[in-house]
Amino acid sequence: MHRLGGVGLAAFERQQESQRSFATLSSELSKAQVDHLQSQLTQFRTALSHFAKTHRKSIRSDPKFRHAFQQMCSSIGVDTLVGWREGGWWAEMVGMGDWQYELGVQIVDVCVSTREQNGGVIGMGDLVGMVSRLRGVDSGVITEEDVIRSIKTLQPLGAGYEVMDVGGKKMVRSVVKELDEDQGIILAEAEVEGGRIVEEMLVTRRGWMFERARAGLENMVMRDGLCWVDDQDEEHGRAYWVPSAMQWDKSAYSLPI
Amino acid sequence: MGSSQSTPKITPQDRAILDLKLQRDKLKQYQKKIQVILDREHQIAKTHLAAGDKDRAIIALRRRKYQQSLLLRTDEQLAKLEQLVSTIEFSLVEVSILHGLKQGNEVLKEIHREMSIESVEKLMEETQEAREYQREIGDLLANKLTLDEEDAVQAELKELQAAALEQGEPVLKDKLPSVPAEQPAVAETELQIPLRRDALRRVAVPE
Amino acid sequence: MELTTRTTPSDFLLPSIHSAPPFFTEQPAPSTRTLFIDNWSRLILAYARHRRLFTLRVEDAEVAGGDWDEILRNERINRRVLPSYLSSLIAALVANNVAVYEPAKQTRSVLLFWRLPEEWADVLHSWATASGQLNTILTFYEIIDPPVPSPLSGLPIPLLRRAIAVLTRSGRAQIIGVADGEGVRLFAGTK
Repeated sequence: MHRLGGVGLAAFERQQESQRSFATLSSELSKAQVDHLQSQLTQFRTALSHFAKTHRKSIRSDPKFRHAFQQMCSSIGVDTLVGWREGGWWAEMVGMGDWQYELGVQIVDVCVSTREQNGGVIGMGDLVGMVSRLRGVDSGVITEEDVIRSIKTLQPLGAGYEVMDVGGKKMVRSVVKELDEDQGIILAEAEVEGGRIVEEMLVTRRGWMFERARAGLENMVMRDGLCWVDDQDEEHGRAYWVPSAMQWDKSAYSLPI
Repeated sequence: MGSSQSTPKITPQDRAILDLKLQRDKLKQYQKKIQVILDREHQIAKTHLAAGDKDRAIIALRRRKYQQSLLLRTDEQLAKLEQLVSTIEFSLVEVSILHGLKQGNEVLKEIHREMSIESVEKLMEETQEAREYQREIGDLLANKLTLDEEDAVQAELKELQAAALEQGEPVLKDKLPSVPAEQPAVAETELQIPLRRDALRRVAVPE
Repeated sequence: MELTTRTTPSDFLLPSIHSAPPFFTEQPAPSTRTLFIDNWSRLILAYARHRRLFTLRVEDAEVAGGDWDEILRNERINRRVLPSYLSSLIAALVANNVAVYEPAKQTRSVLLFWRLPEEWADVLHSWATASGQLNTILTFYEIIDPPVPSPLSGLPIPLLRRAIAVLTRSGRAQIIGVADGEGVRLFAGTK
């Protein structure tokens, strides 16, 4: 019966021969694959440039659109900020060169995309964490100082971004309307309780009238979405929860889908 | 709709296959449901036995055996028919298959009658009506079971008795010694003894 | 109190918002209301897929001990979705076409589409292809209760009908009716 390879020196050579041809074939194949990949990548870059050019205006003016665009870039491993800093294609395409300013833009993106969850007030730690995640960098690469500086560069734009001190904790406000004094106090009180606040706390600790406490809280719920209602509170029936003061696990609020 | 022209025509054979499969589905559903009833009947047989009422235990067991065999037979028949439909030229066997389908339907109807847990519970009742029902069932089943099946019923009864003894069923133990102690009970025991002997003989020496 | 994700006894990962007490209250502010309902919808569908649940009823919020307790209740914070809230959530699912009222003409019970009928149609077609059952006549029962468990095991008949309807429209299925019931025949076909 014929056996593959057989025996003896001839067989050994035959084997080497076939190994060589396999190696050639394999390198040819991988070269073809790499070429193919490279051409795909070039194609893709062209498409991306084209996209960036045509939508330059939207990318610059619409935070939600820009947020989505940046997510798309980061999901395929293109760090848009690195591109800027090196004066790469991105800077040319969109015409933004300043890293500090761009960090500011990403801060805006985070604030805008989380606004419906927190009513436009976000804890500094959360913000730094989310900006880092958006850029795909480890924690510590972007610091609190970076963020504060960037927010200052945003101020001339009149977007109303401001770093606030709420009961000793830094928070960033991204709504144009300034928080009034009562809302500031409510936020500070909520900080103490891990986010939960009821009318009675404001009455006993701050000496408010019940009406003032209720009006302040309901305003925050209805007008600004700054806090959530819990109608199953064991003690008071209705309690209010300030999401920016709640101790969230690092994973997002919602389900990963 | 333009798509309808591409789908093949539905032939009488298609319909027959569907009929068969629908019958088989029903049977499968019955098989699932009937386990509950079979378990209950087993329980009833045990209870009767513990109470010393062997006659009624046997009725429950016979009934159980009958239901099992009914399902089995129908299942086999359907499988055979299905094979026929799919392997043999349909027109050759059409008549016999249609006949088989009709039979299958009748058996299904019979199974359906057997499927109510209320009628099973009647085996436990003590009313006059229930007594009559039990006797009726007993007579009916005695004619319907094959000898092999009857043997299996008796063997099962023996098994139950052995199991009860092993567990030291207190009811049974209490009852047995009390028999010779009481004079008026003689009539009753005489009635029971030949029955038991009869049962043992049937199991030990199958003709 | 830290709000964390948590794994249920059935091995389902609950999002951290499920530990937030207000999540169990229907919110008065429109934007928050929408945010919560979106999260609930995703949670309900993900859980249904995890446990292969097909039906959600308002009753599931009324009595404990049902299939949905793991998400409709959070014993650790002593909160539960009240029937009125579940009713709103169900309406939102229907409005988003990820559920239909089943049976029709009532609003207390829905059939959940954690796979859309179009997706179930593909699942059904691939199953029939892979198990060599194209061009044969199948009863609904043998599709949803096959001897070898399949992705279609336990699929409710109304959902199966919708999937078959999708295939019928593209000429990939044919319904056959007899006195005792119905069957279906699938074809290779193209989309």
